[in-house]
Amino acid sequence: MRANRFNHRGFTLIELMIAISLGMMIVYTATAAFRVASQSVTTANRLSMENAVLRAGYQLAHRDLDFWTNVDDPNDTGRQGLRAGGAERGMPFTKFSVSWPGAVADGEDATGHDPRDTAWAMGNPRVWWRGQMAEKNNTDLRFGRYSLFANRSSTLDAGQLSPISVSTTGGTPSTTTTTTNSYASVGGSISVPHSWAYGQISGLEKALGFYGLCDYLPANAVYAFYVPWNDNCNRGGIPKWLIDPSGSFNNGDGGQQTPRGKYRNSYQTSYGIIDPRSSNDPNTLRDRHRRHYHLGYHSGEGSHNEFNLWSAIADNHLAVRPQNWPGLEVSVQRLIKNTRFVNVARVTWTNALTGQTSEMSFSAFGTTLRGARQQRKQDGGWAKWDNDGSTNDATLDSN
Amino acid sequence: MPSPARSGTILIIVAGISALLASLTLTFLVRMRADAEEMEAVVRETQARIMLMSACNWIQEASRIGWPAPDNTVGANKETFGWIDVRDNKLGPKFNATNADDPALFPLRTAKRFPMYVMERPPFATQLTASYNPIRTPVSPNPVDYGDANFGKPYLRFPDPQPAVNNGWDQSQPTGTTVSAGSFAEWERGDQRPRSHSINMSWFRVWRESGATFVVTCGAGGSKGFRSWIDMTPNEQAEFNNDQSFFENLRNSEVRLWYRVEWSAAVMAMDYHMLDHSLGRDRDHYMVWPMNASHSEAGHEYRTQTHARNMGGTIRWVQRLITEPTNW
Repeated sequence: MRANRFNHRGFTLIELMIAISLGMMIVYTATAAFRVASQSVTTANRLSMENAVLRAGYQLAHRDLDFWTNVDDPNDTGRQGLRAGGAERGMPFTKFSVSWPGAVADGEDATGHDPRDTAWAMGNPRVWWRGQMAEKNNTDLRFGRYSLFANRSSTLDAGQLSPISVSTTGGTPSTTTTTTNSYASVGGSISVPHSWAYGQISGLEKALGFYGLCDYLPANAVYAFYVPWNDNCNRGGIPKWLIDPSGSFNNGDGGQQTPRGKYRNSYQTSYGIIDPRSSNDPNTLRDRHRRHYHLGYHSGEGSHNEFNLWSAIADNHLAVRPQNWPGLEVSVQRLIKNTRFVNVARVTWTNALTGQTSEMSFSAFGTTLRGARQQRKQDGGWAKWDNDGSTNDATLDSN
Repeated sequence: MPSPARSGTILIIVAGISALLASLTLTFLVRMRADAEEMEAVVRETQARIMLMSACNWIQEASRIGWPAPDNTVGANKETFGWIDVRDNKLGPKFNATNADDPALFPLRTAKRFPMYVMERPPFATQLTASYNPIRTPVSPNPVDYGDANFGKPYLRFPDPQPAVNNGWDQSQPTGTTVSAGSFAEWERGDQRPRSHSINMSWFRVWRESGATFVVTCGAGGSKGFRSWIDMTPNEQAEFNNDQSFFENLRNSEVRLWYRVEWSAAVMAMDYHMLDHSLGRDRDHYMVWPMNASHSEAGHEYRTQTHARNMGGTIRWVQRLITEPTNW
């Protein structure tokens, strides 16, 4: 029998409306689920990318901590600004053969850098500091002239000792007479038995600056020495820049006028490694390595900002990147604080979507300045080092 | 009953959506897995760098302590005086100043290996009790009433700290008559067996280059610091089930970093904090805060060098090596 085409059973309007509603709900739910899942994956991908960038930044920071390439790249002459300088006018990466030449020897007269681990062994009398820890900037030499026992110069003539003023009271009515006694008339030459340790302190400061001076000297070093007396010294012959509380080396804490170790000079103020990109002028860079930075108590935001501006310049490691990649900047800052050598690494990444910047900072232990100099050949490139008996490359420390 | 065509359509839609969700989930999981694997490399790098700290700490401590006494008797001098002895400026570490080089405890151009792990009980371990002599109140452990003679009194009745190995000390005999020296050797020796969860994670090696200069190798991985299969004794090979390929897989997957470091006997300048501005500034004077003064401030700063207890000496410099050295 032929079916009547009008006899087909269709949907009622109600059925259709219910079916469409249910269908829409299913589609909406599925779409929403898909969107959530898709967004989750997108977010996960974005976070994953940020994590990858963060990991890369972490490892780049450690590379800089160990190889110091952020302030001196041996393979890039454009990033060797801290190698400039001449004799006694060096910076942290100036080679000693230029800034502080000298032959390795055992005597008190030896000058220049001595790389041997026996050179500064504490049982070696040559390294002992022979001075007067209580001698002040305005001393009257009541404890004697220590410059005769140890001096930057191995010989002195009597005229290189400061005159002493002696006051006598007497007569009627009582009067005070001040007599200045100079040794110049006595004449003669004085042989000073110890000069090596003082020569090292003086030489390192001239060759490297303040941070380098602290890096190369042992932890118990006293930062003072005697020289032939002149107007820039106290009466004993200690250069004022080492004991004057208002100098560029010493901070003014407590008004201390005596020789001191690293602690006192680094808990109110700090010395640091200045990034060569902070100035194109070698003299400016040199000066910035010969001053302290106020980073301790009573310091202000301005002094911190100034130091950070010069010492924590970040490398932009993803200057060119796909639009959806995060930005990445890494800096490693080096300073001395409370006698400790502090390396502050900062890894900064920028969210490509929101522009939000996040930073992870940490301090870590790695290659020291001396180690970094020993890694580098004198005129560019990394120095080969092995302990198989073969000859190793000369380094920035070689004389 | 729905027609087969309609059922098939629904099945396709449901299966499609499910497949989409499953693929998204899988992508997510794969991504997370890859992240975790990449993070593992960072963790190993970090562990290896921690080993640099450990190696430097060992070099500092071993300059003065940790060596077996010559005659291995209790009470014998066990202190040494530096890799370059501060008494005679000759190579050490050695117990007696002989005015001669004596690096026998760690000969030059030899290496020591240090697989790192947590010991069951380290030598000279003390109990972990936080407070042996708590002040007693009605609400404290072992409470006493307000009227009790022991209420609120800081009696120091128990020695603090006490050894992890029981030495027989009894509170009823505070003069120590019950203490026995019999367990001293056990306390001194400790139980140096490794805790299983802590093994095969990281290690370091120290190669003595000269008197006070060392090549430090820092490792994160399961090789326990062995350089190669042929360098190992049969007993050491047995630690890897006598399976050379297993050892080499471990070795090839670990992080190794090489450094040179130099030790110095120097600790800290004696002027840690002079009295300069505490006692006037006009005249030279010798006054310095005494050793063992505290670091606290009480009107003036009572600070001495002993606050910084780096009495094992200091590390003068550290140099990361560009390439693997021949000897380490």
